[in-house]
Amino acid sequence: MTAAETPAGKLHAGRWARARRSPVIVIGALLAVLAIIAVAAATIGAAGIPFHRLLAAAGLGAGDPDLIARDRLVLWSIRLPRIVLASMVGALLAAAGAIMQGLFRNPLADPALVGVSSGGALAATSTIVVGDRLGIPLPFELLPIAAFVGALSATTALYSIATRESRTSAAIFLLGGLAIAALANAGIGLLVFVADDRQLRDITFWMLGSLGGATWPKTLAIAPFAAALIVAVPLIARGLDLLVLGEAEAFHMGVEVERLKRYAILLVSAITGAAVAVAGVIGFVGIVVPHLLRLMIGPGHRLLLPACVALGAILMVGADTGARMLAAPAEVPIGILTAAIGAPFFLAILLRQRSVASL
Amino acid sequence: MTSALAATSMTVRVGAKTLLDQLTLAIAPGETVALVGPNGAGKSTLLRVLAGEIAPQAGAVTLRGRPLKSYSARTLALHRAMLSQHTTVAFPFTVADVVRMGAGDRGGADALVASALAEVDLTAFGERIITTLSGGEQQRAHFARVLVQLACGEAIHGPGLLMLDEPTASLDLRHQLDLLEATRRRRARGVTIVAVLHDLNLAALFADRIVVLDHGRIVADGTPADIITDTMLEQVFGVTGAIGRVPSPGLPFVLPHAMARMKQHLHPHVAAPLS
Repeated sequence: MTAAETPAGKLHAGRWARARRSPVIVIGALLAVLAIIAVAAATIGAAGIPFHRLLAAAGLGAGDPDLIARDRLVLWSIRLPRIVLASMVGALLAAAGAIMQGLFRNPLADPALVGVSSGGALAATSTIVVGDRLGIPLPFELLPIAAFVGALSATTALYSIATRESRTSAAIFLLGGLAIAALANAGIGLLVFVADDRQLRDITFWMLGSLGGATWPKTLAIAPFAAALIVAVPLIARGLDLLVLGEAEAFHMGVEVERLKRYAILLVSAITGAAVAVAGVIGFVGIVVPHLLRLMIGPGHRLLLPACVALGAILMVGADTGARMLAAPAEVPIGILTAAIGAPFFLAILLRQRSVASL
Repeated sequence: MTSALAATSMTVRVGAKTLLDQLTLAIAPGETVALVGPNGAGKSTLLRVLAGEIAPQAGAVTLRGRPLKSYSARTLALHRAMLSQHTTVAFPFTVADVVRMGAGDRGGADALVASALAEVDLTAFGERIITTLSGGEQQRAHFARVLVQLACGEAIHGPGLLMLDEPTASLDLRHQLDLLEATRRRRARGVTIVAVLHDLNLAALFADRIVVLDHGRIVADGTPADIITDTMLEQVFGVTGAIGRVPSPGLPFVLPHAMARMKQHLHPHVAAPLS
């Protein structure tokens, strides 16, 4: 008899099973980790701020006034906006992945992989190039909206390609996404071809993904999208749970399927677009985070989605700090880092669950 | 008395193909009806239309006297529960999770979930990931989910409507009979039951009334003893001389052993409606 089979072992397993499904414990633990990693990220960088000076800069300790003033400047205008932006981008991308996976009933769905991010990036780059050509100074806040429209077009196209008579084919979904990504990337390529040097620098940023240009205005520009996500999660979570059984079953069980799909598509496009507008195309976060969480806390969306928001933020702040440390003082584009970690992860899921792709 | 469910001159077309052809059917509250017929007769389509999943191009469907269209999905789910032929679960939910989905977002469904799991003989499987179960076991788990949904609706609107599409297709003999028993217990409480069945013997055991479909029309409608006849088997299924009778209740049973000489399949339109 193994430990798990004894009554005490069973009790223990029961307690563990309950704990890992308790929203308070799961979200609380994730937020605690996020706080720790954010503090660590604040101390690390080209202008390092050791922990005791971080406390002083935050007004919680004494120190050299000159040093405190310098640290405050670094912290307030460089480090903090970047940490906040990274957490929001990570949260948005992870949640977008989880919602998309629920909508398409496919654990391999990721906005970057199936062309939704590329659609957003194409719309944003077109806005930059066209705006420049026309000589109109465009406010930065326009980019998330342009990216949203691009991402929405890509998601809608993908949905109509992959779903026929309320059945979604996993293979057509992934291959259709591949075509949409190729098309959007061709568009971006064309813009690269016609762009001048300054525009080119901006466009390269979309293609590799980076949090390097983090500022408070950028952070504020995507904050409404993050807020919309937090509000929408409880509204769509139950529907996404039932959608796991298929569209027809979800309808039989009382879900207004068409409305749920519309909301989910709009939401995925909006939050992916927002993330793309400020950070470019960063892949695989949307696959890695929900998959890890399903293993840890189960697939129920009511807990999975908020947990994705928290773990996505943790992962992105961690990855961004890694990107800043790896080749300091230079920065590795974060999209390269997430792809290097995420792509093997994607393959591992694919090989473990060959059947989900039914290729 | 208001029908539990009624369809009037209902037509469903997909492209150029007519799946249901001006079909009219009324089901009384508390009735147990089996829909039978050859492959492609339109049985599953009829069930999906009656469940509100497909809207007919012509004709109307009413549930408890009200047009089906006027129900929201949420309200509809409290009046009828439906078990589809194949349900795949996309993520690693446990059996208990899936069964609990039948209760929607109502809390305190633990007792309902436990009794439904016991009824389908899956009590020991509650914490297993549903996709690791065999096809038949998964089907029983989905049946338990549907029973939970039915019970939740019954608590609000009284005995509802249970719709089953080939519920026994992947079940072994014992669990087929278990399912039959579970439906009989619901019938005793006043639940109306409509099921698509392939097995005519099971249909005879199961139903008060058998409705035979062929080419999107109802070709026979009556009690098992009236319906399961040599003429029906020959005209609808193209099979001859296979009917016997179970001694005590006198129910008919079918033991197919020969095809009809006349090739029904080549001339489907010569079959005249039987009723």
